[in-house]
Amino acid sequence: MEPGRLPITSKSLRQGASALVTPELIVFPVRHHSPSCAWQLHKLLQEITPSAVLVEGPRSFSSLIPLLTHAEARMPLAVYAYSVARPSASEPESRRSAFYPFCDYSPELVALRNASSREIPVRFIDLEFSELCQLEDQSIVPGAPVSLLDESHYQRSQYLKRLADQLGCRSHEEFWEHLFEAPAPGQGWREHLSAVSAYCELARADSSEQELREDGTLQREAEMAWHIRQALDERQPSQGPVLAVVGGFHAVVLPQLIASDIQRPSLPCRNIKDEFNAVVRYGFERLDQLNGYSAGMTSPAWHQKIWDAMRRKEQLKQPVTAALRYTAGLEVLLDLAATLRSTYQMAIPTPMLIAANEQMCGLAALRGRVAPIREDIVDAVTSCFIKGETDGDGALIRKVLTDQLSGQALGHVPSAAGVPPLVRDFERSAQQLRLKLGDTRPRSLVLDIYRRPAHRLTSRLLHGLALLSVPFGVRLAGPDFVKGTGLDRLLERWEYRYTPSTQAALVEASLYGTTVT
Amino acid sequence: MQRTGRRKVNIDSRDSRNMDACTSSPLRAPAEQVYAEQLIRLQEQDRSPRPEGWKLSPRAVRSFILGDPELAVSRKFYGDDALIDRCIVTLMSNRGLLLVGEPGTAKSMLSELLTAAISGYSGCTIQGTAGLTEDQVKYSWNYALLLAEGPSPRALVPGPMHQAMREGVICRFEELTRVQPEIQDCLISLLSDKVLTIPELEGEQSHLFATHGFNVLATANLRDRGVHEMSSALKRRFNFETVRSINDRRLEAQLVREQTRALLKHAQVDVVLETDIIELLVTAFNDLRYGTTEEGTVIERPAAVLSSAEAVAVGYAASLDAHYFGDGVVGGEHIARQLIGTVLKDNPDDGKKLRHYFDVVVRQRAIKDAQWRRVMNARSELDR
Repeated sequence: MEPGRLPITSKSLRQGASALVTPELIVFPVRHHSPSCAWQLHKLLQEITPSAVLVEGPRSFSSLIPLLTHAEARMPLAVYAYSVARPSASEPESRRSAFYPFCDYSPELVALRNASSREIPVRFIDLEFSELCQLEDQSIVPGAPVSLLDESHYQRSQYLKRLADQLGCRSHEEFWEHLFEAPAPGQGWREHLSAVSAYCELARADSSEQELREDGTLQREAEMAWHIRQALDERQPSQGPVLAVVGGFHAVVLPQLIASDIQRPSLPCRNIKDEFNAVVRYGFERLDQLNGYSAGMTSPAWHQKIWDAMRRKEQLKQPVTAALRYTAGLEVLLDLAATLRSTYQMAIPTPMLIAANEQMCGLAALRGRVAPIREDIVDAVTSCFIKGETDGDGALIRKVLTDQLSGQALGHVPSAAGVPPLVRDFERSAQQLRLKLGDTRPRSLVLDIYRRPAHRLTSRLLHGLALLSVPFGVRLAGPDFVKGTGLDRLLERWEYRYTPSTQAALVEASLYGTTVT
Repeated sequence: MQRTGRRKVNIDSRDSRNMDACTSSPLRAPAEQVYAEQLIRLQEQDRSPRPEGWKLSPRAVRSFILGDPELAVSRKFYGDDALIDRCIVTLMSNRGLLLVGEPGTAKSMLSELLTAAISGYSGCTIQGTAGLTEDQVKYSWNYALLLAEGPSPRALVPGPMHQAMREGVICRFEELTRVQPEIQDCLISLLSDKVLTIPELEGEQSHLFATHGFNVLATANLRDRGVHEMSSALKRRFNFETVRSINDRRLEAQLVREQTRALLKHAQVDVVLETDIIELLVTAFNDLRYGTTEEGTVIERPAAVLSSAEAVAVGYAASLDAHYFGDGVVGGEHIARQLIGTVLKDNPDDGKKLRHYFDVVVRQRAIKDAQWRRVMNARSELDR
């Protein structure tokens, strides 16, 4: 039977789900950045000791696992990958880059951490980023960040859209949260796995084979299946099952692929001039934006809150049920009220909070949910906090709420991480030019660009960083040769500040070269 | 249509308040009559828990307004389903519901549908005007009896609020912000304490405590001329819900088509109203409403309100024009004539803007499309 073309009946869905769990192999379907999937995986890992853990992601990321699971590492972090291909007869030189973000509630990170702590062999099993670039002929939207965890298949599926409309869900995210995030804390992992499997099969049934070949999905699945078969061959009969943590869309076809005689995909040959992976610090704001573009799960701070609440309950040995979401929702309302009162001097009396909490619970009940989801909170705020037209007075309140649900957390990369050549070049130049990188205090600089050659070099470095959009120095005054203003001035005035985002931006800019100037 | 606030009220069971079998059907029957069958079907199939005093459960109210194909219940409100959820949950709580938005966004229609479904009766209504007084809201007296017998329950003439609190139904308050602020504020204690004091009477009768099922559903237009700002104490007792005009063109075309056909059926007028005429009507409205056309031409927006309700009215009037004065087929010129009447209201600048629209946009389209050419032919109406 051709993978992905199963006839859809409830019997076939159940069969598909049970094929994922056998004594030798468990293929665990996940949505990336889903706390419910992370939680269920966490519960599964408490029950079994896998012989090997395999995770969806470019193979070479395996060398970065010690950094990602390092004690000093703090989420959110991302692996930044870039690939530069030499020009050929038919194509010009191409530079592509992408991110693979990790949070505490990423199922992949839960798997990596658990396996590392128990010294179980763990590795990434997907195609390399360079190989992916060769397969996809997608046009890149300039300016839009690219995610290696794109989940647009679920958003495009017509089956899922019709199901969402029937349940009254306005977006694919509301639909997922309603079906999976809300009930997850109280569910068993097998039940969750079957439901996710059914969801993914419906999405799969909507995609044509041609689409899946063009965007590289089939080749990626062939690669992952080959790796899983290798792990199965290496497994001893006495050991626990091989555990594969992959995106659900792929998971549902892997058992058949493994059982059939699948070969590693043959990829077109292309000269790779440069490729690089690095762990960089990431932020919730960027993750929100990235997942917005790639149909992933947005509002990271909200999911982080739910994840922390589940972990806290577990540590206190209390039962983890869907009811903790009510408390989390109330905390969001309280935080919002505190922000509005302090920063915006708005009057939010306590009865308004009570009303909003009641509204959130009432909406969850009316919509048939066991616990509130993000949309219920947003609706409660719309009803109770806004005393005027939603688009007029209410725009500010909604914006504050959206920012709060998205969050501002920043990760921390362990100091053991290496740095790409561009970063080293910058640090060397800065040291030669006597720029202070020791702390994040702002410093001012006056450069005599006409009479001092060292100052000219410094000016060149600072302008170069500005061109690369690396946040470091801001020019306050001086001749502007681009616009042609102030050309009679002799001195440039700059203010500079070395922050962790400077280093992160430099790592990302290393796509373009190894030296700044 | 202006209704006075004072109502003569029958204190007996609610059924007698429904219209008796008149010899002819009324011009516009209330929602609970028009959709009586659907409401009965929903009630029979309703298995979910019902709040005390409600005729239907919240899920059934939702189905009534948003439609349920299995029970042959039609969809009556288009555009924002989540708004309906929020309205229903608000009406279950101890706060009132205030629907705000531009004119013509179906606030009053929604108010009527909600009360018809929840209380089974949408007639407990106060029409807010600048001259509204407190006794038109709460209660007044039969002065002859008052003078003869002194204050007694028999002499009291209940106002809509009194009636709603006693019967446990939802009281509708249309155009709340047109009412003088002092009169608006009499709602504050009604909404927070849910008790109506009648100082003239003695003992137990001096306080009327609201029965379960009572709430207030108000509508307001916050940005029009002649509206008063609400006090913040009053604002706190309402949940504000903004009803927006329909953004989706396909949805609006569907709405205009269905509503116009329903109106024509009710008037027993048989015309040919094609889909392309509806598209033309909706396109013209969208152009004038948003100020840009599909081709990208920017035009000035007239000050007149051009909501979906106006579009339905234009469609209906054009159909009547075609039926009685034309050949029974609605064409571009019928739409044009009614459109001109709708846009030209009190602002003289709107005439200039409309002429510009005709000269630039319609003339361009008339080159390729026969119906738009007929619209262009009606341009002479503008110069009259």
